[in-house]
Amino acid sequence: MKRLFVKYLVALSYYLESAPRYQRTKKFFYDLLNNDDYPYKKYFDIFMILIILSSVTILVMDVRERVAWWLDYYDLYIVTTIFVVEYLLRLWVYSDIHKVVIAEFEESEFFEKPFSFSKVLKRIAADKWRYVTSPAAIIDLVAILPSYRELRILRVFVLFRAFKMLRYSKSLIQFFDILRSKKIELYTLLTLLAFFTLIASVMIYVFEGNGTNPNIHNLFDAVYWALVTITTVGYGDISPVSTEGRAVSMLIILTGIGAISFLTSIIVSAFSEKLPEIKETRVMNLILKKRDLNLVCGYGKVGQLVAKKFKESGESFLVIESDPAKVEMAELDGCDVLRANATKSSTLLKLKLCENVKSIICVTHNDIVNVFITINARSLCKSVQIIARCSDKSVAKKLRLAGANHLIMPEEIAGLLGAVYIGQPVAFDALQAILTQKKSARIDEVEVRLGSFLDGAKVGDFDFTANRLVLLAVMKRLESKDKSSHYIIFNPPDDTSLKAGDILVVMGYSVSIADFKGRVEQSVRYKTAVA
Amino acid sequence: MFDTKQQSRDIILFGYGKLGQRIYEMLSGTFSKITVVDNDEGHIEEARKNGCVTAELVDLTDDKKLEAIGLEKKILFCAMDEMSMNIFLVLSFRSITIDTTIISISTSAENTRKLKFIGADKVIDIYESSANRIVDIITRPAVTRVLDEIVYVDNGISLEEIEIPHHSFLEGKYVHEIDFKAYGLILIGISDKELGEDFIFVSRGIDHKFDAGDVLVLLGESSALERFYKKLMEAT
Repeated sequence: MKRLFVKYLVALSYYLESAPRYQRTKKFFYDLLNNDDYPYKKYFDIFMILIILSSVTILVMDVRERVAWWLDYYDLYIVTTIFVVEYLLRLWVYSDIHKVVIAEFEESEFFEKPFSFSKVLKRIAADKWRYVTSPAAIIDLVAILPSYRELRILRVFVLFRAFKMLRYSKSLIQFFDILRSKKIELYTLLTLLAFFTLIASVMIYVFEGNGTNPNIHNLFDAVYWALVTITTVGYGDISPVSTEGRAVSMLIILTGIGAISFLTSIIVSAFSEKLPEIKETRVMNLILKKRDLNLVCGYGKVGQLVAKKFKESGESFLVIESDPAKVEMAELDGCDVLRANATKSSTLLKLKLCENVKSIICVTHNDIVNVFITINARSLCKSVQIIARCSDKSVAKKLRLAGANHLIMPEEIAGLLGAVYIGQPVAFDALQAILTQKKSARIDEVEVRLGSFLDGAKVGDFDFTANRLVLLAVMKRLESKDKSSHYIIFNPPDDTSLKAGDILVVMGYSVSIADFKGRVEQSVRYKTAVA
Repeated sequence: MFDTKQQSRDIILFGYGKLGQRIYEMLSGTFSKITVVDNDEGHIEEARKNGCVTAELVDLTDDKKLEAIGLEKKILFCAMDEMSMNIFLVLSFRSITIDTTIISISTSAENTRKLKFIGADKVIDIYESSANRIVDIITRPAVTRVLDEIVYVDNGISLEEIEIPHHSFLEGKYVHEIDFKAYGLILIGISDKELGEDFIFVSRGIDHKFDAGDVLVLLGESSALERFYKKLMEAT
């Protein structure tokens, strides 16, 4: 009987391990509950916060007057059910039971021992117990309790529902993290306060607890008075009556002011110390959601201009800069900035280089640093596009070796532009207008989409001139799937055939190009609809 | 090549420092008549060492000595490492010369504005142009590659401007009557002297009438351009 049970258990475990649907479901719930990068977690968090708020409201209202029966019903069953389900889901995704079973089974097979059922149970229980005893899980559990109406004292645990909100709010968690960083100072201060409170309360009790002061009946009253005074709250329900008592008050008022300002300064300094970190987390949260990110390393002259132009063209980018003054400048300019050193691999790894980053632009004023960033990026990711700036020719060679795709040499570009201008001023102006897009004439690229009217057509089939476009070149894709390997046919003859994936480089006014692009897009929709 | 004007252009390059040296390298690829002028002895020596025989040491702050170089009808290229010196030079040239083309390097938008204000014909902002290039590589990779092939890469494809001579076969014809494709060329645009110096892109769709003196900007292979140029001259 037992053997049969074990056999089925192991079979089931293996089945779960290999079942994609089960894995997917579990992954989904894990992401929803625990993964901050998961886009839908945000909605789940908001939903839970609303549930908690509604439940707390109902319970608070219930203190003085009876709420409508359906509200009670909602609170008792629906809210509790949601909480219970959430708790169980968290318990479920915390660890994998079937993995423990499989591990034990494989171990028993290997050592040719009998399958130990109790060991498996113990291990599973240990795993889950670790979750149950974690602070967050305890709060979750306690937050379920107030639904049990028979015990009124349990209402206090409504508070824990509010605590539960911590889980869904990052900024609250951050606040506690910041306080935690000043643990030692806060402990010292608390000890000091406790010490003075104790002294003051004992003194007032000795001087006035013998009946001199009608409001102090016992030591608790004395401690209460001392605390109210030392924290500068001073309700005034108990006040010293004797000269000795007043002397004690004066002393602890002075210590109290000192202690409070000390406390304030601790918290403020903790925040100002953590401010860059808080900003960084915010920027990172924002940035990691973006795909096709461009990293601008260095916020010098070129970096600033590149960032400005990216902003104008709507590209997503992140400035990485190590100089605090420049970081501040970038912030003022409204860019997302990360204060970090781009030559360190940890910086680039944190940004998920291979998945999120489209290109790295090394434009620090120091050639050597640019080389380092290039090496760093290329060693971490083969596919990312690297554009590096350098002034020195000998560095150019090194940058190419290090794996930069494009080199930008400002002096060289200026020289070339100068040469073109001197040789052909009219052509230069035309080129400049096209390049800077200041006038409405521009060159743009149009991809031949699969199934569009261009796919399979010939260049001559479309009358570019009538559409006020000039076809400058066609970039044909080589057989390989690699997108960057295109070869260029200038001024293609009419019988050049077009295939999906080819890129047409056309010149024209913005309107004409937009119109042409729109037609290509539309024909795709039409054709697929027919098919 | 076919345009004899190009080689005959006289260029005076002011500055042979870090910046000027690179500019000289780039210019010397296309032009032969380049004079280098600098006020630093070391720079001049460097220039001579790199094969520039016409390097001259001149006190750039003295107008008389500047005039002595012979500036008229020349292209003056200011590429001093110090921006203030470039601005000063442009100002000097404007005051002592009449018929010159002044080109200056700039390092910031502010300097560009100043240089244009005091009368430089062309200001090249080295950082702005670099930034433009970076952004183009990322936002329009195909366009950038095509333009690179045209402007930077020496593969026979180039953008040239050709002035229509008197009594050529083009005179009096309209744009739509000429099949540039048959010549293996693409007409990018026309600069019409009659309508002011404005450049008309052919994609604007205006059926322009060619006149002598119009400047055509054509894109194509060197051989095709040469054939076209010859044909244009034949009809004269």
